Amino acid sequence: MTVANLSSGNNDEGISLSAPVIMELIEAVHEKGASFRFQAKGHSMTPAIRDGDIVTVSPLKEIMPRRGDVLAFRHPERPQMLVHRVLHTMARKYFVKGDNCPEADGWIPAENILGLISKVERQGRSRFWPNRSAPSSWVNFYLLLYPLWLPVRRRLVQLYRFFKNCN
Amino acid sequence: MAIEIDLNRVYMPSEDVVARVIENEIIIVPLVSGIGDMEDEIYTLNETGRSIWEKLDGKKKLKDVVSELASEFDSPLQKIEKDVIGFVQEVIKRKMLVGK
Repeated sequence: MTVANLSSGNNDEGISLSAPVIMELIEAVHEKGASFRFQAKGHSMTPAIRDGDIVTVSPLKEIMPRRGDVLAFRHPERPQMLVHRVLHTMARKYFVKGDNCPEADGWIPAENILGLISKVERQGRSRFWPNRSAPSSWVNFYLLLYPLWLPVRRRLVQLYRFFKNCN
Repeated sequence: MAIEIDLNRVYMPSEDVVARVIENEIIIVPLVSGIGDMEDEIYTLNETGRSIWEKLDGKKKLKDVVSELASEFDSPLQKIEKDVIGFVQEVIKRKMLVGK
């Protein structure tokens, strides 16, 4: 028998976990009614969530996802977890898309939803993020306007690049 | 100061941890303030740690766990006892195990 060893993930080397493992841990933690905090990878939700941001995914409990919410979900066809925004809802189905993705992921069934993104931290600071457990008119305003703002922002970026190249 | 371990006591995983066997490895996530925090602390156990952890089910006394492991690993009882006590001290210190 070798010596029992307990390895911690908070050291410099860390513990690298694959997406299926993270998804299983999220579900296990949610079973206890707790939230799960992990580092986001990728650029599909830039600028709302950037590569390296720390996101907290909370169990849905009685909360029904609605337009503007950002969900963590299992990809229906690949062993992949995505964190993307709800654009439309239908009975137990959510049409989701990354803010920075040209194409939507399509309709995701409710059973694939792992949870709701309830907090985003960047460089040690919490970013403003609508807290669905304490809805307010500001939150509703934000949720309504954010998806509408994204195409405007994209157009402004294109115009900015165009004029920059002209100069 | 080392934590006193009673071999006649029954130990079990704390309510404040989530432990799962994933891809043949035990991964333990402590829940701090209602959050399982992958960015703070997450633990994995090696094969020996896993053998001990799985026997700490809240039913068996620690001395029975030691005896079972000694026969399973065909190893001297004293050596196993030392290893089990060391492991239990470590996980109790991290609030992942509680005595009944």
